[in-house]
Amino acid sequence: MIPRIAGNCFWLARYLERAENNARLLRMAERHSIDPESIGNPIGLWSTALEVGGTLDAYEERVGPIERDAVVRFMTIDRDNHSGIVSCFRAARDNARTAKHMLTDFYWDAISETWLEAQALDEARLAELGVEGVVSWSIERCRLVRGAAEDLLRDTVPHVLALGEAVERADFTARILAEMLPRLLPHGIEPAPIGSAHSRMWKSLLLGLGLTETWRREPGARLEPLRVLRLVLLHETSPHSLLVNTQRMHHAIEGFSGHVDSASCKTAHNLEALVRGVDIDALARTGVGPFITSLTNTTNQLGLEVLRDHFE
Amino acid sequence: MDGFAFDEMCAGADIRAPYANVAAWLKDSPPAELAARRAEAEAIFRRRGITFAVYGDTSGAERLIPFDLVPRVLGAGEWAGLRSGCIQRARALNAFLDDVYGKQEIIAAGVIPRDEIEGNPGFCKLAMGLSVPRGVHSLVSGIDVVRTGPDDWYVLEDNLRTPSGVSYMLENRSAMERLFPDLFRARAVSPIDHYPDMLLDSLRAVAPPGVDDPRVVVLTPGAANSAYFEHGFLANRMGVRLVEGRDLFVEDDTVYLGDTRGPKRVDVIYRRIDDDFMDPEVFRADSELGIEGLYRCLKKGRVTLANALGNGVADDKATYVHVPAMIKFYLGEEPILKNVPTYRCREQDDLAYVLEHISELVVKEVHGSGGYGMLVGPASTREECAEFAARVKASPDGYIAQPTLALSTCPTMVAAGIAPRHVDLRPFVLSGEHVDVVPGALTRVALREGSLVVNSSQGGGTKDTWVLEE
Repeated sequence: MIPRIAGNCFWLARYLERAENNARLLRMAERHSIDPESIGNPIGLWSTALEVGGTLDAYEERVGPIERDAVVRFMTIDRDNHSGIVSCFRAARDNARTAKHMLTDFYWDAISETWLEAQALDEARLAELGVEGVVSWSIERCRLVRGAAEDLLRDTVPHVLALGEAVERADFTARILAEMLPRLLPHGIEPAPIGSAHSRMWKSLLLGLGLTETWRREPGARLEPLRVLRLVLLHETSPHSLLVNTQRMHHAIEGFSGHVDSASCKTAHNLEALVRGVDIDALARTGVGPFITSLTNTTNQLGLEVLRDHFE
Repeated sequence: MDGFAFDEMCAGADIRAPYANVAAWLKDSPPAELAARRAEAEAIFRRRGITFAVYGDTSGAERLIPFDLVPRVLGAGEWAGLRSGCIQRARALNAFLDDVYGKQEIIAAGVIPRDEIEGNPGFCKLAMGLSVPRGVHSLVSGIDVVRTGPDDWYVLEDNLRTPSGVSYMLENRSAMERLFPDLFRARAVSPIDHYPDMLLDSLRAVAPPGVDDPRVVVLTPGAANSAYFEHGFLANRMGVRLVEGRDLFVEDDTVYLGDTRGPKRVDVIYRRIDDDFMDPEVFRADSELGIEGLYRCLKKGRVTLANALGNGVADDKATYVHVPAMIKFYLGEEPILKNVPTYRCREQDDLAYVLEHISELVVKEVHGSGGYGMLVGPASTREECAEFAARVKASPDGYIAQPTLALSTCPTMVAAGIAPRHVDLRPFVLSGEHVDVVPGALTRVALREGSLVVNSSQGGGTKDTWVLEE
């Protein structure tokens, strides 16, 4: 595969994943905003959603104070917010257009139709659909496009798409943990009573990460913070766990490059070792800062190495 | 003009035979249904990304080329003559190119003066003596023809550099088959979807000698190019890589493609970039679109370029007048297709005639294309004619003029319903091991009433073109 086109496929997958992550962040903040505990707290998780998306500064500079409707607009239809859902779909489509000859007609149609529908998303349509409507639509479109990858030859493109998705997912996991855990851990790591506000906050984290379904399959009804952390970081089979995504990274790099010893491949293995070696108890007791910093740095290093070694 | 133009569907009150089914369909289709189908077609084209960037439009917006639902229909007999004529022309033009960059027998024989060839801006000295497998200089030739009567076809121009539009021919058919399958069931229409297979076969046939399993790539200037959709479409349908110049590099006089699994040798480049930008070592040094060192590889015969360098000498409007003579000289045949009578403003008598009759003529820049730099006399104001006459007078060598042909009309969907609009036709001739053309072409239609300018850059649209089976 031509490195430049591989780069387009990588970013196509990242933007698609980013659109879905943004949608889940909106869902997380929206659900939290109607939690009885949040009444009278208009900021709720809206600023967290912006911070995780890396757009809090841009929002405050261009839009102003945190306010639900304004944040929703900013994170969905605001064309000037390059991380907004509509902008992400646009960027995904533009990258797909450059790499179109490597994609199937069905894959292209799925992403093209997504962009055409996204273009029609304006203030009126947003009001008509509501936050959950836009979130559901966004996630459905992402899933549809990913499903369309089914017909792609299992040579290079699916590996590059998988890498983009895994890198974006790992980066997102690091960001959301960095924002949410300092709010959650001070309340203790004892199992949270069923139905408690503390339990609901932990569930918000699972919702934001797309791990709600995975959690439901865990034995026991009580929410135990350490088990949640173990699930987020170390679940062996959930496509949204950090461990699974670090494994996907080196499989993907090996898959499209045909090499197992490139610098980026080694870094991906290091990332997996970093995640595997995490001591959940110590993390919960002493703070997540150093781990998140290592995680973020290694993920960034990997992104740069992949770019240098394979996409240029 | 419309009153005098040949109507391809109607002969007086009668419907011409090839159009029988289409005419009945149009009669039975309520306008609302046709409008709904047109909206459906637009949605298909938009989703497929079949878009076009208008030259000079800096907004970067992608526009749809208007697609007209009413197909243009040619009977098998009508097509047979046209097909033979196009093939004949492509063979002669390839022979001409092989000759002018080789032995130059046509000059020695006094058929075309040396200065007209070597003084032509399209003549590329660097192409002299380059080995071109099978003598195929123009692998893809777009022959633009117009019709003025049942058996009267004229070649307007030959496109031998990077002719485009074939993806529209194929996508138009695909949309029509999806929207109106019953029409195709009612009357057999010759398929055209094997064009990419034929193109790949031709490209592989011109690989450098000794290469058993040639690697072919499509070279594009990039995603910002107006024909990028087509470049990607053809690469996808042929199952080959779409590359930009920066994806290729030269080592040991061989072209390689960068790949995530290591470099791969490239044998045939189907390029959609002009000569000037192909190799900064020998052409424009500021080109970022080409491949540094490509010319060295061509000289050593290590890679094939399709279309070859220097084809501009054969397809400009100054050489056009000599094509009938080329056909006789190289093939010993009488031309099947006619040339439009052409006044060459470089000739004193012709210039005088052109200036006197400019309001009746179509005047074109010798090296212009895309409908730019031309004057359609009968459709222009007196001021426009005078302004153009001044330009011609200032540099007569740069212009030719032709009588304004009454381009045939086809029924077309317009705001007021179905009405005749002028059309032209571009069949794509492929030269490789054989010379052939798929039974179809791109029909371009001037959507404005009375207009003769069909170019998409000037607001023209396209139609599906049907060649009926026997």
